[in-house]
Amino acid sequence: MRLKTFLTSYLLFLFILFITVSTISVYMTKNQVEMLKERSAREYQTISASIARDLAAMLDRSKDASLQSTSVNSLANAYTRFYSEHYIEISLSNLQPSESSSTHLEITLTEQEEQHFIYISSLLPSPFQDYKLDAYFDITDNLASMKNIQQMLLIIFIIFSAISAVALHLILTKIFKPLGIVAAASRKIAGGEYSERILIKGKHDLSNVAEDFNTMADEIEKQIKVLEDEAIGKQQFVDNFAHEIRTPLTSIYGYGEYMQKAHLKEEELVEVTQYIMDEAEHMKKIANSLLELATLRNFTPKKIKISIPQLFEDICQTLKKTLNEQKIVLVCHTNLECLEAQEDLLKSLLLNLCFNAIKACSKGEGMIRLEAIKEEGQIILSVSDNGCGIPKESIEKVTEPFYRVDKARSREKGGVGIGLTLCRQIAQVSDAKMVIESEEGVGTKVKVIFKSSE
Amino acid sequence: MGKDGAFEMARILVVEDDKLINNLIKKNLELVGHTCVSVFDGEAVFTELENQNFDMILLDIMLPKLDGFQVIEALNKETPVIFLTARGALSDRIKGLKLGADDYLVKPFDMLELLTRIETVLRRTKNSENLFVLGDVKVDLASRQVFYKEEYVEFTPQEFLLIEALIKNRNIALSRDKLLEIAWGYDYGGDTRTVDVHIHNIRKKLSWEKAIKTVYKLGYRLEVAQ
Repeated sequence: MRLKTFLTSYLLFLFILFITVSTISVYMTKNQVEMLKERSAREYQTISASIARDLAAMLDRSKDASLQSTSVNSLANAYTRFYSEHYIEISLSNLQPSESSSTHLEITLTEQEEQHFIYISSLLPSPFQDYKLDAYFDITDNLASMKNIQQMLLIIFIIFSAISAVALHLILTKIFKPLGIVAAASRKIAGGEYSERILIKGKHDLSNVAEDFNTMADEIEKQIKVLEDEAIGKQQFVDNFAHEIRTPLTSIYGYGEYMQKAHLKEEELVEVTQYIMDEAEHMKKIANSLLELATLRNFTPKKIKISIPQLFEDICQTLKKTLNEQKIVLVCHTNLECLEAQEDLLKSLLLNLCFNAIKACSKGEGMIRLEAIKEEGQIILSVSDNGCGIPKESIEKVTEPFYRVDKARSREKGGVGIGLTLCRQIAQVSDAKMVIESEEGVGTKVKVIFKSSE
Repeated sequence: MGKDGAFEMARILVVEDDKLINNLIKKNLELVGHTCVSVFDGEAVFTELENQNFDMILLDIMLPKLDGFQVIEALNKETPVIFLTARGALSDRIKGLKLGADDYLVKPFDMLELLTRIETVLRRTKNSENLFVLGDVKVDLASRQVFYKEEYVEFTPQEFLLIEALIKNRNIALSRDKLLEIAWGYDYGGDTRTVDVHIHNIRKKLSWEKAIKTVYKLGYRLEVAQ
């Protein structure tokens, strides 16, 4: 890219420089020749006039009013000798009556034995028009100096070409440096170093590119982070899932093996088969919950108006037996009439939260509060308890599938480990956000905040 | 030692938070004559140890309150420990063994393997009597001698290995393949009927027709009253 730019601009530059220099050179030569011609013509006329004057004087002095050819020749010779010192060859000739010639100046460039001449030929002014004057002006030296100037121009041209090559190279290096940085950064990002950024120095054309590049890199890094988190989440899910089903499988296999290999009495057989069935049942629950979770993932709830007091009443009815057994008090409070949601989903969400609250409470001392309020235009449903609470470091993780704060205790209480994940999923498809606030030993409050529909 | 089955097996503390698995281990250990106490969290180990001594502790790693690593660090090193855990990573195994465990077994485990490993550790640490008595039969596992009604009975090495396997895994049915593996080794190409022939001989020599029970489609079990 850089080489291409360099070559293209350099060739263009050379071309323009060359055209300019040649034009100047041609123009100068032409001009010079014209000037020489004019000068020669003037000189020729001076010589011609001077010869005519001398001839006129000669004519006055002659007795018979005619010119002696010998005296004309000697005059011509004198002129020739004088002017040959000035690099002008002249010759005077007497025209025969048959010959005719123009009184105009005839100017031509001629070349003889590497010598350049301007040749001028014409008749002398009247009344000596039967004499013809030829003159060769030697311009070899003038032309040679012209050549020198041209060579000089060529040398200047070459020097300038070299200087401009270096200058162009430097300029391009400076211009392309940011591009090089961008390219290096791109390569690093392509190689997986997503945190690579370009340091933007000053304000130039490419700083915009650098800024855009950095924005792109930010976005890529963000997306990659999301993907990585998702991958970690999935991996964690698989790990947890494997562990979660390994325990019941160990029991099922172990008791099966025991039944096969040991001699069992009737009551022991009943006991052992019951264990196997319980564990199978537990695995069935896990499978069902997972299926529910999978179904919810791409689910659009059919929202209808639900009466909140009625909903709370239903929940109280469903929980009544468990609450009585555990001697836990459930208090419902609402200042809202209705809410738009899919009823069975919302009920399942609240029931799940209530069951969690019951599990958190100790027998006889538990108190659960189910609440629906409107705050700053948002509808908030909440379930709070005065149970054992969630350790601070676990609050974020409790919605992960199969995460258990205390592995032993929750399995004892019959949980599958997906309840809160389901709740979060339900909240998500219902355009709500689930927020968990908890303090260990004090209690937990789970809020479901609906995005205001107004 | 008038009682059948006689030589005293080990007292084992089973530390496992999953009730069903704890119970399963206990049932299996009791089949071969060990005495078991089950506890379900790390702290309970020390409460139990205050009350009585154990010949061995089977220890899970992921436990409520105190985890297995913390428990083994706090233990005096006299009681042998076998880790029994779902954590199979090499780093965990190394950590467990470095902390002083005598063995490390990853769940899900085979019951026979667990029994064998327990026995191996016990052989190192416990001066157990190696005499097994059942009715008129007396087997000295140390000197590899068998007596029927106080009279020495001659057995081939394979037959003795079969007897030993049946005694050590008493009340547990052993498949013909398993017995073949124990008495003849993995690479023995023979038929499982070889086992039947040898079992027939053992039954005959010791009048163990009833003691060694044929388990349908599986193999044989030495039945000893628990």
